[in-house]
Amino acid sequence: MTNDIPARDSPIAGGVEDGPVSVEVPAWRIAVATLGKSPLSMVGLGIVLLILVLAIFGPWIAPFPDDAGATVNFAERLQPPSWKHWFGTDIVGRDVLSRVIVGARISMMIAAFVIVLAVLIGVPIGIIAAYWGGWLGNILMRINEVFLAIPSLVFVLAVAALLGPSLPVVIAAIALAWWTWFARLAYGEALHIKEEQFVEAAQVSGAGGLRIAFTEILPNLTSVLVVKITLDIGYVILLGAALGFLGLGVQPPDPEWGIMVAEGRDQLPNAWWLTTFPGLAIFVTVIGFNLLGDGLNDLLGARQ
Amino acid sequence: MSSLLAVDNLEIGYRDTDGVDVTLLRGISLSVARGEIIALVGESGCGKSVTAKAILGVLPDNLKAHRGTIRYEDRNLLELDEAAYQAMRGRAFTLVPQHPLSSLNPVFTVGEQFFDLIAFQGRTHVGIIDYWRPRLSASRRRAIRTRTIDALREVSLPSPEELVDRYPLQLSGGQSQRVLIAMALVGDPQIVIADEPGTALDVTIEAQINDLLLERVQARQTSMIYITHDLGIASQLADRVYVMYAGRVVEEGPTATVFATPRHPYTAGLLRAVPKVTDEPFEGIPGTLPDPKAIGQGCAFRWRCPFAINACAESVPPLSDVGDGRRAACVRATELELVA
Repeated sequence: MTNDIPARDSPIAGGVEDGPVSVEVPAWRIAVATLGKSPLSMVGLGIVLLILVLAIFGPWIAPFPDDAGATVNFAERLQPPSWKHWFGTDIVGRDVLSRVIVGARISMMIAAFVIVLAVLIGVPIGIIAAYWGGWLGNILMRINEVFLAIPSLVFVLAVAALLGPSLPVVIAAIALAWWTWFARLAYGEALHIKEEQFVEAAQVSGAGGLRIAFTEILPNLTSVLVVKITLDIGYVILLGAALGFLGLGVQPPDPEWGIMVAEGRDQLPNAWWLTTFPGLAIFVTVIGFNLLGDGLNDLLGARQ
Repeated sequence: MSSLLAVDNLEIGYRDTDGVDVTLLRGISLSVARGEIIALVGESGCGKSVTAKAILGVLPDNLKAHRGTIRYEDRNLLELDEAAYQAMRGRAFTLVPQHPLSSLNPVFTVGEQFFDLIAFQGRTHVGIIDYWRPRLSASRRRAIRTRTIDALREVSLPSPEELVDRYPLQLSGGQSQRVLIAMALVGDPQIVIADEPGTALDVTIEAQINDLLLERVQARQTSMIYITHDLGIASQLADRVYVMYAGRVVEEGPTATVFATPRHPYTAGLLRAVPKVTDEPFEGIPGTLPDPKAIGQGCAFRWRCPFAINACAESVPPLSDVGDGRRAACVRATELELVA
């Protein structure tokens, strides 16, 4: 018995090849190289990294960290942007730049908790509905459709109004509206993956249903989930800011971007900086996550 | 002969969208003894793969077994609950699949594909804590890796130490099929069901895969059910052969005698349709498989059979003894002089 074909060089291994053994390039270097070809996704990655740094180290970066809270400094109220206050000051004299920087943490916290909860609820439901199907799948997906039929902003507003506005309520409310999208996505993907030969191969070698659902099918969803999560972080931040703006989200004096836009609205058009800079922060963050999501989509899509 | 696995008068069908019951397997009987290799041959659509899936208990949801038994040792598999069935898969019987390239999960390395097989095969209801236990123990991980490498070496894969860390897309078709054979054998099964394991590969690799399979199966005294439409392969591998047509066994017996002196016109037709190396043109069997809904009373082969008589349309000829340890399902089995 001879060997059939010498070890074929892997399509993802690039670089120098001498002899039958190919040089393995680490996956992250391929990712960086591919993403690097698209300048827009690099911009997105840069913005996302910046926002993450601000979210984690905000209080240490902000020039006037105390201004993030309920301090008052009437001597410096409503000052336009200057070298001391790059983004100007608000109606009680707090530094807008500091509040925007510290506000990144609140937005990212909402986004992170919402996405984690939505994935933890939605993905298992989608996979279970797809893999077992039948009446169980029907019930799960019909419940899912009921949630999908309600516009998420209306749903979140209703829950927030019912339970009283606070950070945990905002997170819970958005997560409750958001899991449906992940369930839908996981359902669609799992439906087609469960027909793959390797699922039947696992079945005939003695694997149980749960193991197939979560260790054969779930890992094949990773790439679509990563893209969806990245894109959704932007939308969740937008929804969180909208709630803050409407007064049903995080409450003052927390430096939430939506609240800051709402507070500055009374001072338009004179103190334009009060609304412009928090608004720009929302805009740039959402754009950043979208650009990164698109880049990841190309990167992960090309590998399939 | 005491058989390890015996399928008796198995009928499988589905209800179509108009509510009509359609029967796909119309009373299949076959048996495999310990260490025996049998071949199921027949053209596409005759029910070979459905038979294999029925034995493995992985029929699609819409297919139901109406009648018959599948007996493994002393148990009727059709009466088993799913957990008991699951515990037997991979240990009692296992599958070498038809499409090697799509039968490996693309997101796991070869080593990872073996991990759960070695750690958990034959068990059911493995909890999350038990599931993680072997993963967290360095010594268990090492032991499983060693066993994986040994299993890969057994199927003559080159440098298995490197291969365990490769992903399926880095393997050739032949390598993937070898990995799948190693995976099928790692649980030390009693019966290997090979569903045309070479059709997706080119012919030289196919021959190597078949040699390997035969060698591994004989070394372990494992039984094998080899499904193929290639009579040449069947004659090389199998001790006994079952010729299937439209959901029935039409002829069975020791491979050499069946192929030398076929007793059913369909077997003879199949043999004449094998391309030969001589100039002699080969003749196919005219027509195609009948629609399972339209077979009705008589022999399903009567429309394509050059020897059909009126009696063929009246009732289905039973599989009856025609001498030399063979059985054929043809009313004219003993009177016809068939040329292979």
